[in-house]
Amino acid sequence: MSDDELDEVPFSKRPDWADVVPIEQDDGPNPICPIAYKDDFKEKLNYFRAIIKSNEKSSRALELTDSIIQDCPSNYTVWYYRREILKVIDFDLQEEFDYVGAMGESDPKNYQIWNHRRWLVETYNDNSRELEFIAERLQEDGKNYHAWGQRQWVLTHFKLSLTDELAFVDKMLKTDHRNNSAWNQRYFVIAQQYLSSTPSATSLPQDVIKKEVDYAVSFIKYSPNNESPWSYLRGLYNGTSLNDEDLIKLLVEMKGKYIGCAHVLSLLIDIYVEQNKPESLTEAVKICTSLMNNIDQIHRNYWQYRLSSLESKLNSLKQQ
Amino acid sequence: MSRIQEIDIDTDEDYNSNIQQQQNNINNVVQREPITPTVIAQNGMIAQIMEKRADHKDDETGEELEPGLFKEQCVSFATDALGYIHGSHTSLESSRAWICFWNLHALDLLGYLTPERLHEPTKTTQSKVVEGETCDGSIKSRSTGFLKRLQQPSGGFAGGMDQVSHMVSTFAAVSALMVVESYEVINRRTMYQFLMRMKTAQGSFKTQEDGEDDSRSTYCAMVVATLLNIVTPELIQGVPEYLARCQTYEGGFGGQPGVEAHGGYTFCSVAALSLLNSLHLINFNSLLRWLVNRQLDYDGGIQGRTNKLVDTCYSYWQCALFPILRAYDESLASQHHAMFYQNIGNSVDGKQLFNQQKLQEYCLVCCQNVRGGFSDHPQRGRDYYHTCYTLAGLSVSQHNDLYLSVNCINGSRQEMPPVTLTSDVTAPPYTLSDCTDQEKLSNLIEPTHPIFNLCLPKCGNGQVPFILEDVDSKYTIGRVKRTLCARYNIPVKSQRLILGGRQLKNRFVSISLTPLSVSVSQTFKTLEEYKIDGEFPLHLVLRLSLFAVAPVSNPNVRVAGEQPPSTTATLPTLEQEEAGIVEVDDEDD
Repeated sequence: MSDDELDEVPFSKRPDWADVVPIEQDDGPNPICPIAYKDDFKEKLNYFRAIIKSNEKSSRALELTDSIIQDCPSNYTVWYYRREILKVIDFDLQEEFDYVGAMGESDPKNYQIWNHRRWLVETYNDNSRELEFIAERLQEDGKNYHAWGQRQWVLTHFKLSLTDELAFVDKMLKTDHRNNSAWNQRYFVIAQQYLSSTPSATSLPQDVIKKEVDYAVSFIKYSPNNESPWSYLRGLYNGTSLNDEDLIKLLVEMKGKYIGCAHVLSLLIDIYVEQNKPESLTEAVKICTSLMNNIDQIHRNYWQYRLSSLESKLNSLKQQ
Repeated sequence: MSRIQEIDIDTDEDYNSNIQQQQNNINNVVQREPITPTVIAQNGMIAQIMEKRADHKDDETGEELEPGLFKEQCVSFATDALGYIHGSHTSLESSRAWICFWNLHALDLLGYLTPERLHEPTKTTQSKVVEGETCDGSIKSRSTGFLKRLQQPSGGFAGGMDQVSHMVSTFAAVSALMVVESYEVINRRTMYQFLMRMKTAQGSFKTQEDGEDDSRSTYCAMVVATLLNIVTPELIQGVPEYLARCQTYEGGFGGQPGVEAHGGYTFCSVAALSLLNSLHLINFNSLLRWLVNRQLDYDGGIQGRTNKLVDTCYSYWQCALFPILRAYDESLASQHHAMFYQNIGNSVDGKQLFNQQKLQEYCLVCCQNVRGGFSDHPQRGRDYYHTCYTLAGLSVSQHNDLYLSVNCINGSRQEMPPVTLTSDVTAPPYTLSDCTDQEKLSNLIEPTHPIFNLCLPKCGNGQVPFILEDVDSKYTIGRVKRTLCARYNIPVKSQRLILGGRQLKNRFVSISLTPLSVSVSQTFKTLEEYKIDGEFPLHLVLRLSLFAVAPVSNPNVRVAGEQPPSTTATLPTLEQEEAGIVEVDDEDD
């Protein structure tokens, strides 16, 4: 859509724009933080002001929005007006997808581009390109926040296959086991499958928890200090008790294997707190002290805070 | 998949005496870790930080130097921006309200924006006189003159000239106007209409008419409404529940329910929930754990998401949450929890739940530009955004008493916040024994409010005074409130009018006692009787105490999704009020 050669001709020199009287920008007297715009950009905005004023929704107006977007993709007003134009003129949907797709490639972290894309998908009820397009963006940057957000929206809005999505996430995690966005997506899929579909469920089914714990552990083995699978593992127990015999056995074994791994110790402390017995709290105090003084010193103030709380719990238990 | 070397260590002594062995063991494991994009990026960052730290040493002795702030240079960087923004920033055309806020607030944080400097007429290169408008060239008049042009007839502010209103720009414009103390140019009636138009059925707020909605935009709406005193039950209906749903299994919050926990969105969600007195809806413990873990060991800086790189702007987004959470934590069981914090008091790293010293080192040593200003990472160029948010981050990591200012923003606890909090600070130089007061002060940033990110004197106690231009002095207090209700859609029952710290009452009950009888009479005071004739700043405080926190029996068990107590109050109709049924202000001073 964007014709580079045509772009070079200023709007004031284009015969087909001769009928439009550009409107100058008025920042007022002595404005604070004035931007020293380049003249050609200023001119485009002047023409845009005129178009808005006359409420012109035409293909040449569409072309003008593109020209401004190239200089300033975050101009949400121009994007907004572009949609207003698209609502009333005939246009090729594929072309618009190509356009916003190319913009997304060159500026993948731009709110306006993703919002425009979502509008297209929703308004024209066409999600045929989405998962592939998003997958391409995630190939370039596996943690693109907008891309993952759009992905979740497409999956839920169009009720797409969650089994396929789980396979996609698995592939992403095998590429980068420290990609926390992919871990989050896995949690999202599992929660969609077992929690959102059954409103009465307050936690994941036990067999799913076990399976997913195994999955997380298979990644923890690569790198015990990788926080992502640890958070995932802990999250699986949301709404249910961490005080699970198999889990404790596994964690104690890991505590012996991965010496100095703060994540396993942190999880054990929380389990001991849940047990709320003098011997388990004593153990928690011991672990907490070692995290504070040796293993996790950057977070020592936090462990000090936890320790105070543990000690006061222990004291009140002993007094009973 | 590799096998892990197994070492049996059971006792505490073994833990303590085998640190070296532990490190070796971890290294062995990590060495077998596949090299992925995350690993490469993190290693690159560590190398950059090592380089910066190596440079920051005394040439002769080889000792590490104290980190220091290039204050004058930073002031120049921001003051230059007030007069001229380079054309390469054309892409920020829709963020002009933000450019104003970043630079004005940076100057305020640096202690530069004194009342004299704010009002001092100055000459600039781009001087232009427009008929009917006067501009004395002061920072205040130039800022006000420009920002009010961004205000739209249908409410809210646009990010740039002749654009449509945008929630995030509205937040920036309102914040900037607070910095220069010109909130009177804000049209609160249309602002309220704009906010209501942006509200979605799920309790979030959109950024623009057909824009995205998320916790960021919702925070902006809540802050604007709070600062401008236009919070109504209708406006905040469903908002706390929406924000609570954005908390993820990790503990932080995403931009939308289900999306990955992220520093910016976590700040927005939690700060807004704090404004709404609704922190009981979230899982406090998992949030705190997630938050603490965002500070990285080697880097000392703060990352926005798990396994991402550190970035200076999160110094504010994440660390401002510590005073907010502390304020909440202590409010639950003051004595008990205050003790936990006091135990931290003697730590060398600072008194908050993160390592204040290391964070400041990352910002000052690794990301500071010698010509003033800050960048996100060690080897990047400085920019206005990161300069503003690094300074704000330094502020929250220096002032240990900021949590006291968090509780001063709603109707139930409205004592003035301490305006200067320099008594308890953690800031370089850390070797305090042999440095002058001047040296100590040179690195200090002004205290900023953890929720609003405005310097404390600019928060207006979280309450902007209302201006009632068409109210007669014969009006009773009840009638003043009904006028406000009619104009700003603020229910009478939510209003409390304050004059000079005293609450103005609707009704006075006088009781006379004689040995045989008790006689009760009531009077309704007018503004005149309160000696108000239009020039007095009346403060309207909204009774957010309607949404008070439920007492929690065990403060350590906070379950996400728990329902608050009665959150909706039955509001009287105007007819009832006219009939005098509710013409009572039952609250005592």
